[in-house]
Amino acid sequence: MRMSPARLALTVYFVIGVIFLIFPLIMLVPLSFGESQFLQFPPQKLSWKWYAEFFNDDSWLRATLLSLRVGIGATIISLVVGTLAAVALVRGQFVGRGLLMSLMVAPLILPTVILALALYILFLRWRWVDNALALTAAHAVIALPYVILVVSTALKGFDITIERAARILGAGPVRAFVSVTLPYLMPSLFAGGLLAFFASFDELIVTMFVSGGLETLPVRIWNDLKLRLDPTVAAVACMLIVVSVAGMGLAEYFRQRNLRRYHNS
Amino acid sequence: MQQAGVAGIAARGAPVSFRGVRKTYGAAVALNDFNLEIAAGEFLTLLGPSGSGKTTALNVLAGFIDPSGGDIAIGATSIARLPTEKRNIGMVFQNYSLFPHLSVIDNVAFPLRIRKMPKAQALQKAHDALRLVRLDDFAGRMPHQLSGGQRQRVAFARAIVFEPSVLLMDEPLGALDLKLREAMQLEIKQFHRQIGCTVLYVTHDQGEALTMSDRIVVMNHGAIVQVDAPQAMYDRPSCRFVAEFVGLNNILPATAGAGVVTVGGTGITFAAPPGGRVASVALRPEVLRRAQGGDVSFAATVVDGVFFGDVVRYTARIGAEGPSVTFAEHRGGALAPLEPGAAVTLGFSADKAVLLPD
Repeated sequence: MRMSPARLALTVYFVIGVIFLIFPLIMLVPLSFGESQFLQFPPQKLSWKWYAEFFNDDSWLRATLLSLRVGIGATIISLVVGTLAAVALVRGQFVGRGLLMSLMVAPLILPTVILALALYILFLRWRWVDNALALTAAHAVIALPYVILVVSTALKGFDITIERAARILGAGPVRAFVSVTLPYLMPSLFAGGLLAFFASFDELIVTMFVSGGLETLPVRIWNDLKLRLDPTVAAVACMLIVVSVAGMGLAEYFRQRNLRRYHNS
Repeated sequence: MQQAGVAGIAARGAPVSFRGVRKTYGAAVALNDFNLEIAAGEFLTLLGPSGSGKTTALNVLAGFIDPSGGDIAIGATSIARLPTEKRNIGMVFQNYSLFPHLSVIDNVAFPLRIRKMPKAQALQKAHDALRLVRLDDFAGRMPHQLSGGQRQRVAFARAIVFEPSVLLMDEPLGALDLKLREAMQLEIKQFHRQIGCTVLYVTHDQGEALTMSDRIVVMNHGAIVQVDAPQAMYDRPSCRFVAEFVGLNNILPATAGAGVVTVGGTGITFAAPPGGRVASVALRPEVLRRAQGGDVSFAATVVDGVFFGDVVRYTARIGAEGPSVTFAEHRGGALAPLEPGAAVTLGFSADKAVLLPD
């Protein structure tokens, strides 16, 4: 098939754009499979050595475990608080609704350093530095806007008569929400939760300010880079990429399924 | 008629009364002093243009809207203070509002499960309801796999499966095409006869109202204009609004005096029993015909003829400068079709003319 010049130009532009975006990530893959002590490109021999290194090193595993715990905690908090907030912001009719929405989404727009500094000052005063629960709370603040934005957008597109149908068929307000609205929101909750989790999981700046001696995975990577540069970092990064892609794929699957069910009429 | 599988679903209809119900939004009045008594088991239709208050009345009964004043009762019990879920009312929505994440059978069983009926019994009953609407074979499907008509029947099954004494239907056929709509009108009517609950039906489609209802309530600007059985509503509209809204009508200005009605701009006069004020006269297209003995007759010129299959609907001008009227003739009668420009003598029987006060 022959392409018109304009189409050809657009295709070339597209390929260059994609390469620019993902080239740094692709670079990591051969690095992680290298044999050498140092980040060497291209690698001379291939091996799983650095992946093994990750699982054999206690400090890597502890950092990963802490990141998982904080990430899951922050995700749960932001999902519960964010969903309830979204319901109030979308359906409620009260003064200052717009202001409240802006406030809750603010951490997304505010320079992270400023938020980190503010949290650090507060945590110092409350003696919350070096506390995993406090770190989780701090991460929840950062994760919350994602959930609120995703869920409130979905809620705006929800046909309220479906909930009314549940009400008149005998379900109380809470029961109707749980049995009818929540299933509709499921893909959005999944997507929002995923964004929230990764917002926490790869958070570095706030964590460095308030975590004290706690070492999350990003902090561990950062510390590693400062001391010595070894391909374990690349191996960790590659594993994170695989996990992220799997999560996004799953989110897209749920979204498609919902589209079929709710917009096929 | 499918009577066999229906034994499981039967509801005793309850009377419904609206007493002075009002709903205002700031200065806007959506419903103004709405009084209506619906008999047990009656099929009553609220008919009106959009914004007439018919949907507001329905939503007040459903509990989706709090009335600004007045009271509503089902049977002898006031329900104005009851939350929606405690009113025990079935409802079919215009866009079906099936639960997209539940299968057909789970949708229909939903009101029963909410009422804590044991699962096996609920499923049994849901199957009964689906059999009533002849969709038992589709129990395992998801709503998005059904056609519009099937979805509406599932919505109907779900609304009556818990045997509510009152069933609300909010323009339930609005989203269907004409053929299907007509078929569903007959089906709903038949279901109603089989189940026996009180039905409050809302539509802006006057044809639908005429076909299905025991009584019709015509509404406009948040108030009731006329309450009557379909035939009475059609034959004896009480005002110009009803005469124009229900069915086709020729409305001509008229004056009355000393037992004689004069149609303005036409020279047509006919005797009429003295009554109230007369400002116009309504003549149905089927009341007008080529003049016969005993008719009030007048000369007219055919302007146009529109072919409708079974009938041809003509437009004709009365006299040289008079108003236009439409009249319909069945094809295949003894009369030859009329061409535009043809002179014709039209007539009507004086007792078929409806005198209107406005």
